[in-house]
Amino acid sequence: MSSICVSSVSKQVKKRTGWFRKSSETLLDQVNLEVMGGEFVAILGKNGSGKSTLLKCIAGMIHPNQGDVFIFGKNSFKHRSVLTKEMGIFFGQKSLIFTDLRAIDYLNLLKKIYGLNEEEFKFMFNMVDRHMPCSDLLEKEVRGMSYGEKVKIEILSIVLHKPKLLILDEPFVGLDPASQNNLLQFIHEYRKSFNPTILLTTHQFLEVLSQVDRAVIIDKGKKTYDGKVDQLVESYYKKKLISVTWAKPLKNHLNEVMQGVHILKQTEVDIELEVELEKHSIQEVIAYLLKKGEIADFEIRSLSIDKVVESLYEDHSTLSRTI
Amino acid sequence: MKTIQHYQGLFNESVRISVQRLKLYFPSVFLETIANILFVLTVIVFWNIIYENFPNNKLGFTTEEMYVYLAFVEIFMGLKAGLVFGTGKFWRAIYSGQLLSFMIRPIHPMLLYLINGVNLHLLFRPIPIVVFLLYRSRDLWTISSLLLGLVVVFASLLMVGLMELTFSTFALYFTKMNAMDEIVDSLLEFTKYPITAFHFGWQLLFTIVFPFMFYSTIPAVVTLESKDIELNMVLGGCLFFLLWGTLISILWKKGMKRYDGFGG
Repeated sequence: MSSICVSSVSKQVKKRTGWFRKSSETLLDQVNLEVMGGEFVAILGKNGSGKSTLLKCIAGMIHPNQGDVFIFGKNSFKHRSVLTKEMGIFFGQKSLIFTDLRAIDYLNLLKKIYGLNEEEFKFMFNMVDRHMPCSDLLEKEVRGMSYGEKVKIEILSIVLHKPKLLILDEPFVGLDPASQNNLLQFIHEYRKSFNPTILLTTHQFLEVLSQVDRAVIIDKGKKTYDGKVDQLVESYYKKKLISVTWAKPLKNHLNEVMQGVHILKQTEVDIELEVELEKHSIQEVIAYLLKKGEIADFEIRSLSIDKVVESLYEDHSTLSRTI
Repeated sequence: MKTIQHYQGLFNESVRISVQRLKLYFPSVFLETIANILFVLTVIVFWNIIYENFPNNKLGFTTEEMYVYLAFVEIFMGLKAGLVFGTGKFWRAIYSGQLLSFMIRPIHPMLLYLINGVNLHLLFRPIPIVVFLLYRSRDLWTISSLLLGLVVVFASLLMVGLMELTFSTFALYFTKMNAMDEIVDSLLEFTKYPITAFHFGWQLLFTIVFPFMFYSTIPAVVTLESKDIELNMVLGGCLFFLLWGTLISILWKKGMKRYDGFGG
């Protein structure tokens, strides 16, 4: 059964550009999306591509100009208040906690809002605490917390009521690698325990993409890709980069190497190549290069996943050609 | 019944939060109380000078009656700061996109905003000076007349809170509402002088259209003259809440459809 159904959603905003002039900007353009119960979907896109706007529409926070969003069969804008009982929403760039209080004061208020008892509170607290230790933070004033500490409390605050739908907008931003990993571990456990539907936007690709079921790419308000992550990043595994340093400077630059091997850059003393593994093995390429000159040093690397997704943002349809 | 219990629980929690704030920021509250006493003392000096130099003034209050008036000004201001301080600043939450953070919970975002804005500790601030003023004018009031005056102050507090929230809601349409800060200041300006000093036409305007009379002038009059609250005042109040309640409801619903939040 589908948890989320986004049907031809468009969102335009009017901006004042002069004394009496207004211009219209399209943030979302006819976006369709269906997410099944228990699915973990990553929404990817460049800054300003419309990811957060889409999440806000899905959460019922803003009203689409056209189209509708249904969460668990209910219109998300009209029934936002009821639906938020089933949702845990995190916006990384907007603090949700009352800053002049201790964390426990805010969490106690949420206990009342969601009608939770002490046992339910402790259960979720322990689950979060296992991955993102926060017991020392409860008595601390929020305004005195570091960003990473605030994120822990915010994550705790959005899962207290065991929501069936998690909407996480850039939850990893500003966290150190260890904290990012802890948060990812927590999401993994939460998923295993409650099988929620999860929508997540992020720029931390490699770690996150290994866990999601599906990826959706939004570009200029349009959905440009919706499919399995494997397909999205398969080129990541099918290509390698080889950097070679010559023992002696080459007299002539190489104009071409082999079919499926592309020269990325070269000087007299070194060369960097991109190899399509389906066409040639690394061994073949190195053997070819040895014929061209004496090699002092070489390095074989995978493509950067960030680069893979970056080029996807440019044009996902040319994925296999450009990467 | 469950809903009432739920909201009672929320109210209790907001009281608990306020007590916590009092604990956390006690030195600040203490200093605010001292500052408030000094401020009101200067106001008392001001009015004493006016009464000494202009004995035939048409303020509508004697010197001692003015103490009762000033006590209600302080009660009103204390309650305003303690209970509905943020209503006039709600537009900022809309403008900054902070409103979105109030929308992720199963509670009306305005209510959550108000709960966050409850500063019950600020209620303690005017207590010393109010006690002093009421003591100085102790022959002019009775407990029952004072309680009646307090009922009117509470009603006016709800009125001004509702008005400020309504004006703030315009930020959903116009985004930035710096004018709101000016409006809030203007609304509170009418607590400085007893409106009994104004011509009848103004008094009528400030009773029916803008309820400035209810802030402190009517509470003082009700207390001093031991008047009962008349039926037409109750009906007028109900009409006020109905009109402004309807207005804010329409503005909110339509405005939310236009709201874009703020950034990603």
